[in-house]
Amino acid sequence: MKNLTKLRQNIVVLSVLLFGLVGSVFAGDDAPSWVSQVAGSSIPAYDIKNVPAVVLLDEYVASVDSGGKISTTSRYAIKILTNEGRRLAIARGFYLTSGSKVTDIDAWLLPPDGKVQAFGKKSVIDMVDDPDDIYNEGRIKAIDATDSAVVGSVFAYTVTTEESTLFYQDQWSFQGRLPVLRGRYSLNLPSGWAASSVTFNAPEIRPQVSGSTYTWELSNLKPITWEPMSPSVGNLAPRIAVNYGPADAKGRSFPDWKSVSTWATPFYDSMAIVDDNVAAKARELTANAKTELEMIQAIGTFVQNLQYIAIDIGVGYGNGYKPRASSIVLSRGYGDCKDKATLMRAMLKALKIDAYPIIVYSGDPDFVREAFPSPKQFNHCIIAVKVSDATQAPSVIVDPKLGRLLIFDATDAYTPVGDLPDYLQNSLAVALAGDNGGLMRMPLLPAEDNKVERTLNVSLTDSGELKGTIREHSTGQASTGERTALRRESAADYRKTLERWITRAATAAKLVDFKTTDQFANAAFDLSLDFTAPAYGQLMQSRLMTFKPAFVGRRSGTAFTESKRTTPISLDEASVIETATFELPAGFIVDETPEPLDLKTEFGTYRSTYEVKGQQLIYKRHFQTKRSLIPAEKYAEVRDFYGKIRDAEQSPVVLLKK
Amino acid sequence: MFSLRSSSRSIAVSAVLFVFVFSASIYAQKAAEWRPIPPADLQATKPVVEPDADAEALIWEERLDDTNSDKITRSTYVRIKIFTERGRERFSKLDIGFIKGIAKIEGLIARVTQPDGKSIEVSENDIFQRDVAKTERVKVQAKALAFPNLAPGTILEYQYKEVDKNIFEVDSTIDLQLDIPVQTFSFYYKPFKGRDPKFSLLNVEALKFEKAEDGWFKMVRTNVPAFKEEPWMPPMSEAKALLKLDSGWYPSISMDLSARRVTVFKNTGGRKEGEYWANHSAWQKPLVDLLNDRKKNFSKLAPEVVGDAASPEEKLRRIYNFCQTRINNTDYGYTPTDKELDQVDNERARRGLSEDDFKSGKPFANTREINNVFGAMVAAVGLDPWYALTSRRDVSFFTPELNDSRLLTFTGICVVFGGAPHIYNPGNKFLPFGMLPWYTEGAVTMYTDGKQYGWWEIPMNTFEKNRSRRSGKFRLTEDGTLTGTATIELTGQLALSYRLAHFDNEALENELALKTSVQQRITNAEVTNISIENLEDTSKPIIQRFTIKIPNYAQKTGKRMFFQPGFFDYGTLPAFAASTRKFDMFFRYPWSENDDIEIELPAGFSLDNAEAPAPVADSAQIGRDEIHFDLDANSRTLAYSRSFYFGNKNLVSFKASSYAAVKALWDKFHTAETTLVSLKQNE
Repeated sequence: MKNLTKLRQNIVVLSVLLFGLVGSVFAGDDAPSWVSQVAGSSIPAYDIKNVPAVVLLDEYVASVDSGGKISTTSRYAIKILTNEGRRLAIARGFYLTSGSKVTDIDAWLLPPDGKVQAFGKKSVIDMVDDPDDIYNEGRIKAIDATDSAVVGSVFAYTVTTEESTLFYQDQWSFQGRLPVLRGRYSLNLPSGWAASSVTFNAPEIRPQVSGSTYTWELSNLKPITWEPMSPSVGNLAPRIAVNYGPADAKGRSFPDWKSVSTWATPFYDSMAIVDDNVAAKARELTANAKTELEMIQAIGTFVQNLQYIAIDIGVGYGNGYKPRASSIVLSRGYGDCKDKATLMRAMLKALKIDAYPIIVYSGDPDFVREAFPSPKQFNHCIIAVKVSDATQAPSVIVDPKLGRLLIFDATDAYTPVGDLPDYLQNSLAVALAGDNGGLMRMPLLPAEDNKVERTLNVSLTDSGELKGTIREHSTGQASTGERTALRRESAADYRKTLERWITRAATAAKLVDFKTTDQFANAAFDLSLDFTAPAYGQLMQSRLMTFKPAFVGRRSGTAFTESKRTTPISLDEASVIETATFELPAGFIVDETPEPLDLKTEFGTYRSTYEVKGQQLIYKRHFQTKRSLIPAEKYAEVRDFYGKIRDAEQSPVVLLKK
Repeated sequence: MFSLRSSSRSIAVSAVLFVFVFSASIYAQKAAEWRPIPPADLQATKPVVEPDADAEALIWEERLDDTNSDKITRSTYVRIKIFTERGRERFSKLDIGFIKGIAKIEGLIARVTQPDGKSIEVSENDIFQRDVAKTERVKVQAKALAFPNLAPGTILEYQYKEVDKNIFEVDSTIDLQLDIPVQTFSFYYKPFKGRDPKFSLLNVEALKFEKAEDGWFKMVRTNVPAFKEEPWMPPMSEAKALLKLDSGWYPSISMDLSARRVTVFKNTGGRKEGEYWANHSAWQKPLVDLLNDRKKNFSKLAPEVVGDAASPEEKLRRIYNFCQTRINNTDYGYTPTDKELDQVDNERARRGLSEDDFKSGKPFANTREINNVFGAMVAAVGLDPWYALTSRRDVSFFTPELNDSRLLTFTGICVVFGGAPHIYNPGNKFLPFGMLPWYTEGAVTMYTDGKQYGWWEIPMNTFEKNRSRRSGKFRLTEDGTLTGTATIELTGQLALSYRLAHFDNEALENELALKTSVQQRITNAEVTNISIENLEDTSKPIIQRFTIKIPNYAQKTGKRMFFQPGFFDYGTLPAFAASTRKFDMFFRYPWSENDDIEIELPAGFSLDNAEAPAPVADSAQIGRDEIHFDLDANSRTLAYSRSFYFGNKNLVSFKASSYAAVKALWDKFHTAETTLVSLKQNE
């Protein structure tokens, strides 16, 4: 089977072949004057080491005609500072086969000591943007100069495009992670049109206005380095959102969030078609459901288990905002997020339960900003089901106009009805409910609904062997993580994952047996495993034995390796409670235990205790964090919190032979 | 599915053309081509081949028709039963890439059958064609479809025919084992001109082609488990079941460039040992002759370089060093200046470098030309340069009996003296004289002057030569913080691998990489003053130095402090975690580690226990780990020394059946290396 992974590999190989075939470079050409000009820019020293490249110029000029057609010209130049930076010497221009095109793309490479290399049409490769989709109109024209680029080179390109815009709105980020010497966004509007902007992640950037040309510009932006648990670049880099157009631009700009709802609602409403098949399937699925929640669960589980397959046609004409008819989605058994939400809506409608599509941004709960009413802020669709007071679930919110709404993501196959993926929690989203719709905040499920309770019942022998059972009961998103691992990995691979987990805790540890119980409807997951770990306790001179009571850690760790920090720290809701009971070897007594630890901060707590009861040592630890965005200035406090936990969990218990 | 080994074949995997337009009549006709599904398969709820499989191919049939002189046709028929959601997700889409103009697909159809026997065919409107990537000259297209209503219990099927204009495709390696378990894997082959199939099998029980209908030959495997990679496994060609189809001929004409002569060899008509390799050896003659012909271009320089060297080895060493250091190697980051490029006229490009090019400074050349210059200079001082062709041990464990010259690649210039061949590759900028990359060590090489040839197994560096020497001077404070400096010296293959992986990085990149590698083990380590020395100087070891501070390196209890004196193994994980193993284990080369660490103990504490672990070794002494502790009471300094090696007697491959023993040995290594020492607070 040539699945998509295979195809992706092939595409890479093919691209290499194609680039190899097309390597038509003309040495000795002159670069345009703007390239020569920016190439001479002096590069400041940055605090952050190892910056791969610096953007000398990032300029985007959009010219809009009165019919809404846009011509754009991008000029971009980087200086490559490290070997890693060579891979950035690629020019890219995105377009949709429906409604837009890249009319020209040219690139130049200025090596430190050599002649200018110009890359023209023969160097252009035109490829799909997302090879995972069965069909996607998104394409990229690219020129790859990575083979020729050396450290110290300047790589520059221009891309011109033409497109018909759906909205008189745009967003522009002045940087990614690279430092930028100059970033500029210009809008040339027809006479009589006007533009306004809002700024995110930076003080307000005011445009320079000359006639009907608006220009926003920033310079000398420092690099944004990757740091663990940092917000996304989209929430760190300065960006603007722009509204423009004539005075009356209905349907193409949005004065408020309600207008976004009224614009998009008809697309969805018209596709939530309850035909005989949809109604029959809804009835069949809910035949045994006794409550409203059970009906929603039955429908939700069915829809979320349909295959996610995106086929995007006519996106440039607005079809990216339109789902397929629910009847078609049901008959084919697959669809994208819009399709799934619409099918679920139609099936609920057949059961006389109202529901609304919710458009949301997937991947960063803080991305969407209230100050910019626009469909362009969203990339995902979920559903809000109107529920009665009888339906109680953590993901229920109350909207002043729409009432009690159960929020559900029908695309995530691992998060059940009643729970919500953590990357959507607390984000701003739009309910598409016509005049009653608008911006609303998604629920944030507390740590108590998202925890791991772990119990260890183990015995330590006089040779230091540890054996026993670990039981974990996970709920909420913690259970989703466990469920995802179980379902995504084959049975053999899942076993190996568990083996690696206990082997990290103890060399030569052996997994004897394990059992999982997925209580999907309750958003819970149980894991039980039996193990042995020879020589876990280290014997010293036959009189002392030491062992670490914190046997296993979380499956992913938090590592704050750097002493300084430039970006805020983003924490999630999480809770881990462990009780470990060690049956101690006969003839040994507890000589020393580590100091108990009790940490309380505004973002999290941790508490560990040790208790000796006869030949038993009972070790307890409780870790909890809440969703927080902690400023970089408080990094030392966060690092200290995690550092103290790490040190405490490394500390051994000392047994003494009587 | 066919999976081809060379890069060009990787392309060919995708070389399938899609015929986009289906007529209704054709579609109806194709609908009749589905083979009936036995009721037992429809009702099956458990896989047959592997009990935990998410999906299982009930039928996987490939037909390779090579009867036509200008095309090759492959037909594929696949039937897969889905057992789990994971299987559904994995096989829900079919995506076939191809290069337009080279290949095309005919008759792609697909369907899903429910357990009750009802089938839904994918309609032509739901089969998409797209340009995956295109340039002015080449267009890679793909045809994609999604299987409708796929769910556990359902069966998906698809079939298509690929017509390929690449007639050399027949020289291909066919996977007889897929990434999905297969109940019945059938490979049909119809060779050119009614010949019998010529083939070889790798890693699979004895199979043979049997005559089938209409000129086809058929090879069938049943209950084939899925192929899954494991860490530390041998190269794919030593693990996966493969069928190698041979074209049945061997190039029979050799062009002798130096003499402008064409030599016609006897066509062996097949692959008989001796004749086959004799032909392959003779095929190298023009290349060897070229070296001898070029010796006149170095008639003055070569003797000057050799100077007063008397032995062949010393002469070769001097020429080697000259070629490696006096020519700028464009394959290792050297970019010629415009002036240098202007000086390369057509004549120079044709003849290559000569001694005149060294008069004005340091010329530039690529790896191949540097080796040719070396060979020509060797010839110029009266030695005979031969060609060495070797299989890469990371590709195949080659033996001449395989009769497959595709597995051999140029390794270097060979000179026979002292009764043994010696191979040199100065074109590799970082290869010290007398050494070869790890993947050729232990491999069988053909050395030939074009008239005669021999086979030789290239010896491996011993573990003593591939050494990591690590030392550190640290101070442990009363609060458990460890501070000090560490030095790591790499020699042999360890140094070569490091140089090849890092030579083109900026110094800062390498320093950060080193810092990251330390912090991956010790997350709270503060690493400063990093330096990496001798990256370019292959006569010296790679030396990495850094200063480190690790708060709470030692764990404190009420009156004791515990720490791991084996600093360089702190935070490491056991090498093997899995309890079971399918494939053999393969380590690249033997190596050794020597640690010398001094740790000054904190004031107010005295040694409570410093019981060094007992030496760990296997009975055959393939690996050994020996640790000693020594306390200098006056300076309150604990000395930790560790001597480790693995791969003694060049034993670096182990059967899967010995996994438990190998894992146990490595677990013991790890336990010994992570031993704790306890200090007690003075009363």
